[in-house]
Amino acid sequence: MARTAMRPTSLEELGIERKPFYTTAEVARILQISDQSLLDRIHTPADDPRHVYAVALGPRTYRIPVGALAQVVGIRPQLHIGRKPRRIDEIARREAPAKRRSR
Amino acid sequence: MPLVVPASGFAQQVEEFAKQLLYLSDNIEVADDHGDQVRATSYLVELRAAHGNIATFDYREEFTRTRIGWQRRRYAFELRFADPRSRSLRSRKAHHLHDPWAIHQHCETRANADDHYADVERLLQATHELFLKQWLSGAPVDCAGLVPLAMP
Repeated sequence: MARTAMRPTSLEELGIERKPFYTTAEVARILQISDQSLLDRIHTPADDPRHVYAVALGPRTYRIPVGALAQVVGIRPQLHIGRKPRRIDEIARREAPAKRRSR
Repeated sequence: MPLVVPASGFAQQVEEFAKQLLYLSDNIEVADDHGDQVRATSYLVELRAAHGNIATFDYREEFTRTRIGWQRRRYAFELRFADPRSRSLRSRKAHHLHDPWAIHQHCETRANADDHYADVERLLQATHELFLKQWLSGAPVDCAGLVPLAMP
């Protein structure tokens, strides 16, 4: 993993190919740690600074989504919470044709 | 039993869930209207999926103010897979609570037209985890074994 003095703003800046998610082997290679060390970090509590977020596909099979990898390499996420939520009525209205088809 | 979120912890809960979505992508849409008697929230994230599709995680909830906190009265949790160019829907899993069907689910694929199916009450976090596994597995949406509902 390339190092920069400033906090990185994108994975591309660090020479990391952007994908929706990564295997543990890929992330271990990027972080230059062993697979076991990465598994240990996945298993640490979420409030531990060493924690790596991963989705479990099986007992020892995980995938690390791109946003989680970005945070691990120091890219700070921007969270903006708007005031205009999408409405359930839009979805309920779309159901009208399905309703007519139903038995 | 309807879900009740303590008023003091509502904003924190929205933020915590939004942070989880930020693990998936740096481009998420989160909103909370801070309504007085009825409060609505929504979360949306689009991700690349298997077979060149786009996966959209679309979560919406609506709460009513009560003496003990915000009681959830409606929800719509959806995972949609669509063609990236035409945006035409390829498949969908959805868990809903709204009138006139009350709690129900949808399952839609090219082979299985949309319908209303029986369901149990769903929580946002648990539903998100199920949808995540569906997205990560790359497996096609499976509508087998669902029980269609009669029109209310």
